[in-house]
Amino acid sequence: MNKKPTLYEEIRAKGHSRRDFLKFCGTIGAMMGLQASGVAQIVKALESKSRIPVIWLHLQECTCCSESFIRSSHPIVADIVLDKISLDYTETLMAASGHQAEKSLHDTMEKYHGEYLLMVEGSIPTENDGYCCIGGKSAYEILNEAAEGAKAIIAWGNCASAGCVQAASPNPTGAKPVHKVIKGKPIINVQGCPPIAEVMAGVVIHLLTFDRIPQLDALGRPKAFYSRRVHDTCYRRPNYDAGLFVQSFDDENAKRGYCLYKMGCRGPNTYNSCGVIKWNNGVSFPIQSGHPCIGCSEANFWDNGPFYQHLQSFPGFGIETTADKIGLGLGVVTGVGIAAHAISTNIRKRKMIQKGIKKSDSQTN
Amino acid sequence: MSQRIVVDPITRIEGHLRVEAEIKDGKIVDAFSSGTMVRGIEIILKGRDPRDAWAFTERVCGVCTTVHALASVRTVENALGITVPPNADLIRNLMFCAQYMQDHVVHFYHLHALDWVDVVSSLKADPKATSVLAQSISKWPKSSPGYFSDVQYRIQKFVESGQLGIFANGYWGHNAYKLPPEVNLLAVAHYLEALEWQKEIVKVHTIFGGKNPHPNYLVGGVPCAINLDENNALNAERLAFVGELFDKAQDFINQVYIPDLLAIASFYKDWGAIGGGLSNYMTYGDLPTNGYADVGSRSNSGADITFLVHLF
Ligand code: SF4
Ligand code: SF4
Repeated sequence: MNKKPTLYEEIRAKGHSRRDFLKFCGTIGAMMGLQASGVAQIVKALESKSRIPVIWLHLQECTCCSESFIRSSHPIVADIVLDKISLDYTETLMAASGHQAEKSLHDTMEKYHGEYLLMVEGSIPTENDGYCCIGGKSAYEILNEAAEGAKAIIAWGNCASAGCVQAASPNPTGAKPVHKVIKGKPIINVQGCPPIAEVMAGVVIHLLTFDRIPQLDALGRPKAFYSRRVHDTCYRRPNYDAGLFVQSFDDENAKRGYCLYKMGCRGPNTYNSCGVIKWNNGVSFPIQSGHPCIGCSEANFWDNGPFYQHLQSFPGFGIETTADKIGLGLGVVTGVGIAAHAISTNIRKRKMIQKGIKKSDSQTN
Repeated sequence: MSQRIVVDPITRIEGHLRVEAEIKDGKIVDAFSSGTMVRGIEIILKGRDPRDAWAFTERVCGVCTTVHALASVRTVENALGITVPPNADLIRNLMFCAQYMQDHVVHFYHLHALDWVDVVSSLKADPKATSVLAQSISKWPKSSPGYFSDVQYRIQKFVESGQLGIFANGYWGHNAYKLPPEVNLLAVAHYLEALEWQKEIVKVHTIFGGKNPHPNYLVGGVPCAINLDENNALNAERLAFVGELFDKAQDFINQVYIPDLLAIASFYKDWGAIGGGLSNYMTYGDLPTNGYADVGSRSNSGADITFLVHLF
């Protein structure tokens, strides 16, 4: 009676077939860039593991991360987010309020000390404790207590990873991300405002399956989802390479879906999966719907100049020099070499494409 | 003897709320509520490029995403004397409607329902009786006895696992819960269905605004270009997709949400007389067809249902 059903048993009990289950494991595996052996590991883990208790804290935030989380598209993902993990405390969805809610928090902290996952949505105000209090305690106190017995911390979204909008200048509340106030715990920064639902699910499933932290980049983001620039996975990239740009939101080029670089697109220095996984079950993503990327998965994107001013207008942000260097991150020396090569190929390619376009124009005219 | 009760946190809302109530002879005689979190977005907005303001403002709330952004672009347009093209008005209206539909359903089932619906009591329901009830109030197809007994089995397993998750420490069995087990089971089944449903209708935002939560807006119009001869723009495929999303969403609202709302409300009629503050409700109207500045072109319809829904 006390034996907890495994994830696989629950999925079966919910009427999904074994084929559904394997397909789901495959999809998640592909999303995380895993080999077949990795997928087999997901299958095995989900077949044998029971639910991990989760404490989900809401600090200075707008709840868009929770909302994104419940948009996960795969039906089994929806089951996972609701009952493959045990969401023991989340102010957005839990039935209890007040003392009863606090009780759930403390029950889990005691009963599953060292075992539970701590998920944090929101930043921590450091100017004054009064800027965010729950149950009479400050955000910092609550986070500190909950972090102590956590197995690992997931910092959801830009708020918990980098402070987001409230940390934008002049940051009146002294908002800080989790990694600036909590030390000595593994922290995964799942960036974006909000992060893409499937990315959130992917990170959770990675933790459930492999029982360890996924590979992270220098900013603490899972490499599986944040190792490519939006610019490098953007379907409008050929237009960029060809020098075909939207110049105004209502020009002919906008109607043709040309590159949004001159409208302020931050794709060239933004690492996210928008171009690959897209949003809301792959329906579209900002650039496909005609709006430039605003860079929401990067720290300080709110203060990186007006959104509609294009990158070249910023000193030090010329796309073909600095963006590529920023892009290649830490591999500075080789990075510059590759960037230089990329510049010359881009320019050559652009000239060729433009010649080609002129030729075909004159032929049709 | 008066007594003060503090409820903090109030859950199933966006943000952080604390309510203190003074009770005398079993009645609330005074109450105080406070929002217990601040970010200072107004201060941060000062001195920014007004074209960017919508994005900052949108982050006020991720549950009712979109509406703050819409208010912001309208404000900037009003200040600068900009009239948006008619198609932009239409697209904004469609995005607004998608939000209106999604938000009401999520508010009802996922945020508010657990104050009226006793999840544990649904285990005592007779699935056949739930099925008869469901079929008597709606033609929604998922209403067979087998369907409801599957849901009940799922809840049973969940409770037996001992890990109650979001349902832990609820007020189950409290005598303020008035619904018979059969209605509770109906509501729990639709809680789960609505969780699946809500991620579909928001795709309207993804098509026009690139993502949800927090789709993109633009001062002066909308970012998505219309071009029926282009794969890269709003074309016939995209528009048909929007139409289909609305059709399906409407079916759910008419056949599940509204009948449930009325059925559940009928057990709690006395609540309509409690509190409520002022009895006057003002509606500015929305869905402009000739620019937001033209008050006459805004529709006022929906006021009654808005009232009902805010009650529950
Ligand atoms: S600048 Fe933006 S729109 Fe252009 S190719 Fe790069 S990511 Fe795509
Ligand atoms: S395209 Fe850019 S701004 Fe938009 S969601 Fe993706 S990372 Fe964020």
